[in-house]
Amino acid sequence: MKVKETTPVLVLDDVSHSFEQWGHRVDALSNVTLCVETGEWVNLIGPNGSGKSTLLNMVAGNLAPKSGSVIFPGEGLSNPSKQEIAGMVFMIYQDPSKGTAPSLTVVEHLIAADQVKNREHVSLKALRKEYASDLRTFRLDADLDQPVYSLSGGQRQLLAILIANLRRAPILLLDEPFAALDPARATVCREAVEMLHGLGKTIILVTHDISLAVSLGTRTVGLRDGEIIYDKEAGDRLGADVSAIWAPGTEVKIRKVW
Amino acid sequence: MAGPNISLLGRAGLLSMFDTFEQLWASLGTMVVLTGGCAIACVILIKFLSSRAGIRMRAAGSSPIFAESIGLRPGIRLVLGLSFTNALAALSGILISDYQGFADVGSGQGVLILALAALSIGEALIPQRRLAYYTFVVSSAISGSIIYHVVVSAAVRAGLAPTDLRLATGVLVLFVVVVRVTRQRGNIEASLAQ
Repeated sequence: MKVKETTPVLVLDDVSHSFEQWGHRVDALSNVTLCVETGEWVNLIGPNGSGKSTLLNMVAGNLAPKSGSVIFPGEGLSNPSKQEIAGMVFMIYQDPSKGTAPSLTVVEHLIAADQVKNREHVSLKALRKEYASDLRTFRLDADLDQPVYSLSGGQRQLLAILIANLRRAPILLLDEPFAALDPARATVCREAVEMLHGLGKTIILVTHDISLAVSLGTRTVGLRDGEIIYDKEAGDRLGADVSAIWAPGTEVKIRKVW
Repeated sequence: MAGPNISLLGRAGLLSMFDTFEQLWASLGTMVVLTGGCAIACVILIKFLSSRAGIRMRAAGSSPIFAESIGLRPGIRLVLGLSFTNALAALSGILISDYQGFADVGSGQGVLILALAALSIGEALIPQRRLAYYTFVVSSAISGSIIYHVVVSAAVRAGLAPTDLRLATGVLVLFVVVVRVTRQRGNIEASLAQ
């Protein structure tokens, strides 16, 4: 095994999570241990109910692990608070309306979220100029003063990616961000995410697209029944292995509580 | 309060000190002061809502998920916003008691409905396109409440019995609902066409 020079940015240490549904216990994640290095791009794959979204929401702080811990070693944070997590992680949801505020305009989103260019001594007028050029860089063809409810799904998703660029959070979580987009928009968004990865962000992407899972990123991790069953670096990934992860007959493990 | 209402008649009120004119212009001073105060409050509100802090407060109200993802605590901002608006509401309560010359526990009844109706009227009548959202809402609230009261007094002057006033306001609200639904349908069609 080759020695890695990078430091982990995220560690999941023996994390488990289960929830009750209709009187049954669903083990969404059981004893998952995962170490993500700085600058990696991890594709997370697996059938519905395999625990991908649970894992992502746990890293984003929307769910607390029932046992084990989520650790950000660089900051010395173990099971951090929501505000601490917001400093480490930015999440983009499958539903484009989830990650943005409908009644705010494009420029207001950027002002509210910006940790990089927005300083108290910088005038809002000067910021507008910066943001206008950001919109061009990320190929977001929207007006700065357009309210976000009037944007299309693809434009909103692109706006969320643009916001991620203005956050200092080193980790970007994406939960099937391209699933609701048309092919052209999906390509623009994918290239925007690749741009962020090039700028040094660590990416964790949930996808159901086999070709993306083996072509994008530096590593692919497969989940089934809440356990990691596949973990390969970019060079070793094979389409046949990856598609086997989705193979039928992999129903969610359900156990009666009483 | 000792009872369900307090009479303030005969006391020197807050506003009556501005009324130095006679006859027709008796309440000109009050009008000027209230209009000026209202305008100043609007300017402060709009300035705040367009500032960095105001934008974050609106973000917390518009989408708590988005607010949390950018490290805000939406709950705290919600409480702050409610405190601020309730302070404004309390101030207008004081002024109306002072103006009417009495305070009554029933004064607040129906005010919420009136406020919602006024906001709807304003939003239906003010063109939305060229205004920032917060300017649109603030000016809708002000102009809507003025229009509501103008309609009520116009109905009284036209000889409508006080018992039939509800008819006038009811027709007004119905008209506004129709305008809003028509406008919403336009918006939905525009978003479907995207």
